[in-house]
Amino acid sequence: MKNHMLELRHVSKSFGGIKAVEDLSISVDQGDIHCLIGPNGAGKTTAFRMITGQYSLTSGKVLFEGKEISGKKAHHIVQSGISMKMQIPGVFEALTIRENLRIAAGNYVRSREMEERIDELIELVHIKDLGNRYVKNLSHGQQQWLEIAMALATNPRLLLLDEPAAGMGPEETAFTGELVKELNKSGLTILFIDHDMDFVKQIAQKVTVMHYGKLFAQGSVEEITHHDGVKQIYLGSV
Amino acid sequence: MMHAKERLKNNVFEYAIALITLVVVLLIPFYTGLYQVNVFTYYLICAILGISIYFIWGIAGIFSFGQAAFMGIGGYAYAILSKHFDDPSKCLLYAAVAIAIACAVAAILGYFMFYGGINDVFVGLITMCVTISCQTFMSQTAGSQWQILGVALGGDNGLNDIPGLTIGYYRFNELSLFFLLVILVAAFYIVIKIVEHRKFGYAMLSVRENRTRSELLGYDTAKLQVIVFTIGGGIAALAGVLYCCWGYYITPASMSLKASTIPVVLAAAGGKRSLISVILFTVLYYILSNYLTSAGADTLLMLGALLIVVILVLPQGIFATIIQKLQGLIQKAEA
Repeated sequence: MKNHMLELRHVSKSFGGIKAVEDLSISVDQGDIHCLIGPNGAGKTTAFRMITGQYSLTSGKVLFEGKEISGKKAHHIVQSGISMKMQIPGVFEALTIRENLRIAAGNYVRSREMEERIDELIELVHIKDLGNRYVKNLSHGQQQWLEIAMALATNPRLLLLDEPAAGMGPEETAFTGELVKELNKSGLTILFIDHDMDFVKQIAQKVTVMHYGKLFAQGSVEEITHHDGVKQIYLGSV
Repeated sequence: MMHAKERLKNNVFEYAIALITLVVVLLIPFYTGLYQVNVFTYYLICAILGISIYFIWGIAGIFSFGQAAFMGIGGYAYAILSKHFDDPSKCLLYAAVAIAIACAVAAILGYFMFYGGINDVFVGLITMCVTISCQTFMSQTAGSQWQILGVALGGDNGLNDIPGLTIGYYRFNELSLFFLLVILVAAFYIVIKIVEHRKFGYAMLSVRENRTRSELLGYDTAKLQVIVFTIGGGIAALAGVLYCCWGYYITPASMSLKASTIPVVLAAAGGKRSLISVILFTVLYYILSNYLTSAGADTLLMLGALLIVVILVLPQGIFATIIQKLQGLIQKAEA
């Protein structure tokens, strides 16, 4: 039996009178690629932000490797082993790729090992020849890969990816899928959000469906794609 | 090693300008009189204040009008200590204590601002209020009841007859104070350039560019901001100490709205993200201001007009844009 790496226990988040997430309980097992899907406004990104400490919880608990992390600041949560790629690339556009990665790895690598680590990361995400290019001059896909590399620079055990293939062409999406699988094989647990069901089918092992801030369904990719309710609220429309 | 080579290649033009400027400034005493040298020393003190603004705003993105307040606090603290103890051989100790006091004030103010989630333009507003409050408070200290360590604060007249800078038994004169300032500005340039390319420098850049992303990379952004704001306050306080050593006086005007605004405007117009641009533009502004004022022109009005043009046409700053363009040409020629 696999250990729960991440657990959300009856988590809720309200903004004024609006309940963005309500009584959500999810567990992500160690070594899994777990996907969170649902219509726009279902509360997926809010759930990610609660996990990473960007949003405080209205109620409930978040546990990482058995320890409660809810209430901790974002930088403490990242230092404890959770890293996140944001929905809109959060790369530093005014800087070069190598400078972005120097920032990302700053807390996790010794100075003398820094350049070697940067070489490893840019090779991993296929942007090796672009190291000194300013990020604002990169394509959207390259920016997404750079942000994944930046998230990896923090040496996470759990990687959260908010729409890692959004805005990418078929080839870029396929590469991103292979990259995520490769990272998973190397021991990384991955929780991601996506709307592209082909991409989800390509990489996900488990799927959780959210609707109106609540857990709607959970299961394997096969179970979810044949779930009548999920077809009605979500899959029929994508 | 690759990192250092890459940096040298990307900044060769800026480093060349810095070196030429250093040589030209060092030669000033050989082609001007002592009066001009003394006036130039004041410009270099203003450059140190500009460096403090570059450090907090240019590198870490903290927009503050508080540097004049820290300069004033450093200056007043140094003046009070040196007048009270009246022992010139302990000048460096008084300077260190004065800078530490300004750093403590900056740290306390920074703590409440940054841990309170205040950022961007609101930091500018709060620090402007702090600066104006300092000036207003010091201006009303004319009565004999306003004393610290038995030193009367003097209201609008401020403190006069502050002892000059002495290290050990050596008392600095106009010429040696000038060379000390040149060394200090050059040292700040070199140290900041080194720090910028160390982990702490990249952490500051990260906070400037995107605080949310920085937090998600594991940086305690509020702590970093407090540290940067405190160091910046310390650099400004050093400028205040040197100002007292240069002019032997300090008044509340050193913490006025004008005193807090001009260095920020100069950094913006020169190029807030380029250290050499901030230093050069600050010094050139004061040279020009001195020259034009004696010719009857209103330099503040000209500076205001220039800033509007810069914001509209060259948002990165005049000197920074020129340096960037020329650096680009060099790289193109090499390629």
